[in-house]
Amino acid sequence: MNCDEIQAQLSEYLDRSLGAAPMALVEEHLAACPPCREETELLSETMGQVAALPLVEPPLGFTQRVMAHVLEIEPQPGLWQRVFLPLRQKLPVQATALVMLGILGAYLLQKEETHKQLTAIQPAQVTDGIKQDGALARQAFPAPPTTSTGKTNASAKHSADESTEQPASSGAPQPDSVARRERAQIAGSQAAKSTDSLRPATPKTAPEPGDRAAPMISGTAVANHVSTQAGGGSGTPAFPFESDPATAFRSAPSAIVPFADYELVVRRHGRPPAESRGDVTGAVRKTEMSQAAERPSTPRAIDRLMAAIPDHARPQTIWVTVPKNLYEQFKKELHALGTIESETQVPLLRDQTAAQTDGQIRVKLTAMPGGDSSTPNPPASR
Amino acid sequence: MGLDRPLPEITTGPGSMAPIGTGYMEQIFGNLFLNKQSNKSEAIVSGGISDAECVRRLQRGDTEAFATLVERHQKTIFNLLYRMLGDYDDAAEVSQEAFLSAYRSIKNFRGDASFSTWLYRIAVNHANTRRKSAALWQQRVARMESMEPAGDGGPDPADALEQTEMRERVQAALNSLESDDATIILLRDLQDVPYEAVADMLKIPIGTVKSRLHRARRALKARLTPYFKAKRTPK
Repeated sequence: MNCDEIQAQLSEYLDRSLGAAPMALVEEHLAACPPCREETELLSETMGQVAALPLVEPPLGFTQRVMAHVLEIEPQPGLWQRVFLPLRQKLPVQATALVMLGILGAYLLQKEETHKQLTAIQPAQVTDGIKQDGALARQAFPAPPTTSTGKTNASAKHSADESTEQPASSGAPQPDSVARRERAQIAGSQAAKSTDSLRPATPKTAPEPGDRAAPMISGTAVANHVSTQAGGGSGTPAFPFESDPATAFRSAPSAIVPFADYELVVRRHGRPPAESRGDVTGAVRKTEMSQAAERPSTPRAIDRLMAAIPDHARPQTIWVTVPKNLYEQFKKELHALGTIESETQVPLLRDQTAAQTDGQIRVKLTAMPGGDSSTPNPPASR
Repeated sequence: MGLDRPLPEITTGPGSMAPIGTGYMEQIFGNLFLNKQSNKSEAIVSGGISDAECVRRLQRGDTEAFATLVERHQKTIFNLLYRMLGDYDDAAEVSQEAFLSAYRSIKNFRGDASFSTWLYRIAVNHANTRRKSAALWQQRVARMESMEPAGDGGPDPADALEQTEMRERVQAALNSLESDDATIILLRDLQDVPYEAVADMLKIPIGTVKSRLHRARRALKARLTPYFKAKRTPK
């Protein structure tokens, strides 16, 4: 081995990591080669000086300082952990969220139901005038809607029940379209209610019996609140009665058939009143104006009723609510309109008892044209 | 040619080279000494809990287990970094960074190597980064006299002064070396880390460790030889 080869192994030789044979070879060479021995001594001294570097102590409280920083790190979770909570936190959070969502959903569903009911009811506001103290209200157009929610709920329920119980007689429009139109009608009738005058929501076009294309628009005109008083102080007690505007659109075959306690068919007298011919809205306006002008001598209820069903050429149907005790008087007054041809008491359905107990009688009034007309047969009563 | 003033433990002559080894290192380094066994298996310190157990506890969220690890390894890590950087404050700062870095990534520690090896690797990486980032660090004169004990307490004050001067020169020579060379010399000659562990820490084969170590020692020797020779020359 030459000196280069020996010197290349000196580091391992000094580390004593050479095998026994190379070790012996190196030692043999070093004994005979002063330059290599010198090199070995210098290298050994270098290693010795490094090894002799003294140990220094870390700063006091080094561990505590590190741990203080560790505790600062501790509460800050990584982005991943922040986005995805650990399972033990995530599960309760998700479960709670699910329950809250369920409650919210149920609440909204219930509210929607109530809303639907209210929407159906609102036009059918029932006057509370008579309820007050039995004294028949002098005011011709009583009761803002807010005073009569309980009752209207009941009546509207009937309406809604009817619509579900008697779905779509043949040729009736689909339920949802019915509902839409119904809402449109109701909205209109609500808007019309903003003034306290008689406002029959008279149809723009007269209904064509059997016409299935537009059965809902062509409804019978209905007064929202038809209340009347004895004209000119005749001593006849006034009886307020209400027609049900929810039924305003139901002269044509329809899925929505309000419930009635009595069905009256009246044959009109031969000669129609002059104002009921022609433009219906004009007639209504006229009624309103005359009403405003003639107060307090307001027109009789029957006049309003007649104004509400101005068409003398066709059969027209209207639903009217009459206090029980005034029903007979109402029939008498109907003679001004025509002759009562038939009176049918409708057997009660199971869920209609509520309406019976509220002291009101619901009357389905069908006005037939005068005897000389060639009108179709009166609609068959239920 | 013999040494004029050899260190007491180092004898000269080929026949007397054998005693240079672990016994000598043990004498010098005391508790800093890491023998080969302690690096192959888990070092169990007087606390009774092994590093591996501390790591397991730490990974389960027991932060206090990390305090045990810091307490146990701070001295060796700090001394390695102190000699790599040549500055006490830098060493303290980088040591702290290294421990915090280890803490942050303890979840990734799989136990393939021992914890100390893994920790050394982190510390060396931090020190190398610091050395690269400190532009003027090579001009830094070792200011460690005040930190160090004033020699071995020998009777001759001139010897103590000479020893201090020698240490400053050694440190300056280390500072002037490449980072890799300084690291491998300090790991082997200061801390007596076995070849295998050095290979693990630096992620290089053992053969490369040996060759690189030899090159580094020769480089350091070349820087110190003038001083060694001057020291031998009778005044």
